Amino acid sequence: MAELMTDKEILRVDDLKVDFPLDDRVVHAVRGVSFSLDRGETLGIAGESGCGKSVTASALIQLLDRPGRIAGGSILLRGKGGKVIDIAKLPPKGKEINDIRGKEISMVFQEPMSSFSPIYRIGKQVLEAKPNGTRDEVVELFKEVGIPNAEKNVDSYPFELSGGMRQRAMIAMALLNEPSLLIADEPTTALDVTIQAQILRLFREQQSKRNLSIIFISHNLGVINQIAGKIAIMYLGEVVEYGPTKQILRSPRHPYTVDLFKSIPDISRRQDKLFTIKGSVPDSYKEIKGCAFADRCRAASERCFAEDPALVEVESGRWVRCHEVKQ
Amino acid sequence: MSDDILVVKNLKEYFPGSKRKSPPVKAVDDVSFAVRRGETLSLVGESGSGKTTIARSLLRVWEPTAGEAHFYSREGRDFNIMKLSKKELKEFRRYAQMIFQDPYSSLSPRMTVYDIIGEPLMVNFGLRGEELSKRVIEIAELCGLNREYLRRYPHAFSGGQRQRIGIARALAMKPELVVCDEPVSALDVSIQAKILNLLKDLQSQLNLSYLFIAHDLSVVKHISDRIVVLYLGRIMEIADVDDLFEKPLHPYTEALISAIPPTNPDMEMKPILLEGEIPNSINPPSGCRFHPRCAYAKDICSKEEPVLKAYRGQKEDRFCACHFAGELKLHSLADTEAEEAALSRK
Repeated sequence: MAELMTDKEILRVDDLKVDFPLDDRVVHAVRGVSFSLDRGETLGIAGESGCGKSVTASALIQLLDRPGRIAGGSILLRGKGGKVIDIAKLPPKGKEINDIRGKEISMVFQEPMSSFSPIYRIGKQVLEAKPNGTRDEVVELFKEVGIPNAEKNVDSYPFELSGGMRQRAMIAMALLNEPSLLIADEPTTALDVTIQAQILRLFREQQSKRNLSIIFISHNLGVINQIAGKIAIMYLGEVVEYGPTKQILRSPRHPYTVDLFKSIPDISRRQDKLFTIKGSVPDSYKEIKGCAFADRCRAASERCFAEDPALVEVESGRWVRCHEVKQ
Repeated sequence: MSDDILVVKNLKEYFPGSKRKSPPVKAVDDVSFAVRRGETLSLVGESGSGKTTIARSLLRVWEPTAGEAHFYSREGRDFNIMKLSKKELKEFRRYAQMIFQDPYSSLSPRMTVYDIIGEPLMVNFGLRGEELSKRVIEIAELCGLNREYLRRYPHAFSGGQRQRIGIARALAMKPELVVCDEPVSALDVSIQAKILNLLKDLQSQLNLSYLFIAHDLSVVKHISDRIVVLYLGRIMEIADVDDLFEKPLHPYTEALISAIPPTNPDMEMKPILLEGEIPNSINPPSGCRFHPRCAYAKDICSKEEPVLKAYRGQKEDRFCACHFAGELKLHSLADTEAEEAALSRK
């Protein structure tokens, strides 16, 4: 198993599948996600609602909501000691995964107001992540992530802090156990642009200081362009395109990526009409035959409706899941 | 000024403090602007700058503290918005409608789409039976809703479809002014594109005027004719969209534009990072409200509040409230593009 990973790699996800079995059907929320991440690198995951971005993130630390379960694939993590563990095979309530959460991989969520309890002081909640930690440690960390008056604010309640400050506190909590991988699920979506710019800077500072690897989930391609060197575009539970961010933004190959980029209003151009993709994202509980995007695709051929394409490397470092894209 | 549809003068909206003696929250503090017939005027600014409060005060969702606002209808009626009687207020709301941000909480889950669009028609125009259903179908189809959908309930629809229902409900009244409060911020980009196109189409078909609120500046740039930049309940700058993005006059506008992360891989984001956050509007900073976060602030900025003054723009006059407007060398999108172009030539 270990020989699959290079020395630089910290995480390798291969054909990950997540199912949500319901009474009368099974929702295949994640149907095939593969990517890898090096130490100190940032991967952006982009896609529209329902494409499985957040479910993928939760699966990486086995925090799926019930009745979700990992139905296939592997999640190889190189731990701090150098040992390689397959997270997908660990029982979700076991000791092994508990030792990984927070210490190897930790998570930052979108809405810091609903992720913190309103009735406990913020410093106390942050400290819950590290039972043997001290208040001084938290104060130090608060200073480091740019919370003013850290001495005083450590005793504030979440509602007394602004959205940006709460997000800083959440980042401090995620860093408390010095993880090597940080998963950030839409961490700036609820913030104003000026505060978003501050938080993005904070991520970058902490990354270079701690040599952190980051998985950054966002629907905002502009944000991913600023922070992530690599990007995975998801559609209906699959990675459809994967590779270096700048290259993909410059010349997308998958028809979905091409159309998605065209539908975003571009700040540096004047457009009269925005491009739109026909139809809408289908329900994820429907059985999909062939390519998931085929019925909305402008380039679809007969083969696309019959056969599910695989994610293939079309040029060095660039992966696309499409029959029509030639190498 | 016959081409103005809405004129706002010295609008103030103070909300009482939480305790009896605590000072009021000055959400909107002395704001004046006008919306022209057929244009899209956008209000931008960070949370707490008063965007939504202005919109709601103008539709009399709550009572404004002070100020004056006039709405001029196409047939020449003049509504003095702050002094409307109950009957006039009901009439006024036919002319001015609102589209909300969250398509999940703004539609009643217990009404069918037909009833949601039809109710205002029954209440305001007394339509019944054949006439009513004809009009409901007409509006629904105008907004891209299938007539088979009309018997369904909102829960059966996706976010984008719900937003279409919200738009149809607003347009049922044949309004002249539509206040759009963050109409696309809850939607995915591919759906956002469809709704923005729909809003543009409807505007030219029905000659609508939009008062548009959004925090996403790329959306604002796409849809607006003119833009009002707000900070802590005050206007910082009013300008034509091209003027504003190509040559901002106010340091706050410069900072806002520089903080947009571009999707263009060849453009580097160089944000002018504002220190700290938007201060409390109970006790705004002295002088210019923006001075504690402004990189260019001088002594005078903390002492004297700048007034909104006119400057020459490309097509028409623009307005800015800054002591040093026109004197500062501010960075704009045009500069960034020029730099990138120069780089790629080398």
